[in-house]
Amino acid sequence: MPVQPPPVKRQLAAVFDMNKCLGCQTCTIACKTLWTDEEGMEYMWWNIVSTMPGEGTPRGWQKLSGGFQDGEPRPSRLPKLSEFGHAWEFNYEDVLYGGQGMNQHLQPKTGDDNWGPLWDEDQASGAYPNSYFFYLQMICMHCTNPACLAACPRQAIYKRVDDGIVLIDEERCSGYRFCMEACPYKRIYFNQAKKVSQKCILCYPRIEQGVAPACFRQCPGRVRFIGFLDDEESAVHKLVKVWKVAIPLHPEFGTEPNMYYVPPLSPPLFDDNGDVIEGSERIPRQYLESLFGPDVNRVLDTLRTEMAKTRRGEKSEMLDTLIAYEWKSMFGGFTRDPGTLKRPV
Amino acid sequence: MQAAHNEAAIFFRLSWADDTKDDEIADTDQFPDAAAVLLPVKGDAPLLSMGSPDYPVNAWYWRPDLEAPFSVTARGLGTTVRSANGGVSGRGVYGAGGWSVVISRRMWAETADVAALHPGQQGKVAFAVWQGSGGERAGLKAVTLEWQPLEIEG
Repeated sequence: MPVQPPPVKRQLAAVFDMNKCLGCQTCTIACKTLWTDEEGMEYMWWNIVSTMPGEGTPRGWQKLSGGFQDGEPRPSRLPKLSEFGHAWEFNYEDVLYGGQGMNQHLQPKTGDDNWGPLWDEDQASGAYPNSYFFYLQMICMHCTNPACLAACPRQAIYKRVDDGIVLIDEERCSGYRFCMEACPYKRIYFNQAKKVSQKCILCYPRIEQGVAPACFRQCPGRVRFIGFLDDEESAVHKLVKVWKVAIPLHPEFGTEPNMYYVPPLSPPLFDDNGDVIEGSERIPRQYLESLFGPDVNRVLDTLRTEMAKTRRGEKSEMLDTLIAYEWKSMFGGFTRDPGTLKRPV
Repeated sequence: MQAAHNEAAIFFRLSWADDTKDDEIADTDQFPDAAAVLLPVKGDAPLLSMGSPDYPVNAWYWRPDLEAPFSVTARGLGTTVRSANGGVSGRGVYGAGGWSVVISRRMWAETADVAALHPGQQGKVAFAVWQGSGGERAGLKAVTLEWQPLEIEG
């Protein structure tokens, strides 16, 4: 049996409402500027919002395997830097400051790269006028049964008992990257400068002081909910446990992720005359099932039922919660202003 | 394998064939070659389990992408921690289709968590090498499966 962490007292969980995401990457940049702006971290995106259907990052991660099947580890492989996408350097000096602005165009200095994170951003599937895409928000899943933790021979990965956050102890990490191979969501990066593995820390220093993680707090679309899964007052608890409209991504990976998704609703299809086909859906259910399992059908039906209720003029506490009229309702009490925190010297 | 001492320090030279010189971590899926000398800290420390809580083992670990070799102590699988370096030093050279690596340390131990060595000692030693291009790291390595006798001439 693979190693499992001791049970936690409480588990922090998050809900991403995919129907509200604008794909603006404000979350991505909030994370980047806060945590991954040092040498060796240039190519890291602890938070990323991928266009789906699409390759995601690292390229084609959904097909790389990892995680568990029937309780046993599923073999995977390590992605290469080129699959994550190099952090490009651009010729800003020439174009902006070197007096070459009229005859040089902005381009990567490396030249021959043909892949990068978000390479297929906003690239739709399906044929016009029935094309479609949606956004998938990814951070570390802070799993209940983390494959990374089970794979580490150094016991360098631990799951915090008080909140379930999964962390890598960089003092113990030897850079072996068994974790990176084992994580089925491929959310672990290797820092070549420090020779250690690194990943999303769910902004635990902020959490400890009552502040929501940066990618949650900065989201202008009110997409992201956070809270303790057992906090009955929290939106996360209601969406996951009571109304059950937020479900895990790739539950078949066997790691019991604690990030949940409200799956995307579809606009209808147009027929050849440009008329709406009533009751049709642009995003194939089969594709959504490949991401969330068959349970996605129940969730989409529930959402449609609730929407029909509000159209009849009835109240829906579920939809009100998802709309989040008051931003503080999204953060399970983690509403302290980050501006009131003292930065470490 | 060759060994020598000058009473103050002991030297091990490990030479092995290796078609691929993996002297850096050039990509996220690449690993460096490595070598180590392993010694019991005391008595009958078990080899394949990397020591035990009561009988630790001490390794001097060399890797071409690191500035210098360093000393670690283990009390069972996965328990390795850095220990007093005690003058562990060394250098590796790649040529003629293989590595030649010298790892040395001062004889006498300054702390209790590393192996104490002295002229006239009848001890034991083990060796390991890692093939970086084969993805070898941690317990994935070529290792002497039994302790080898170490006689330090007095």
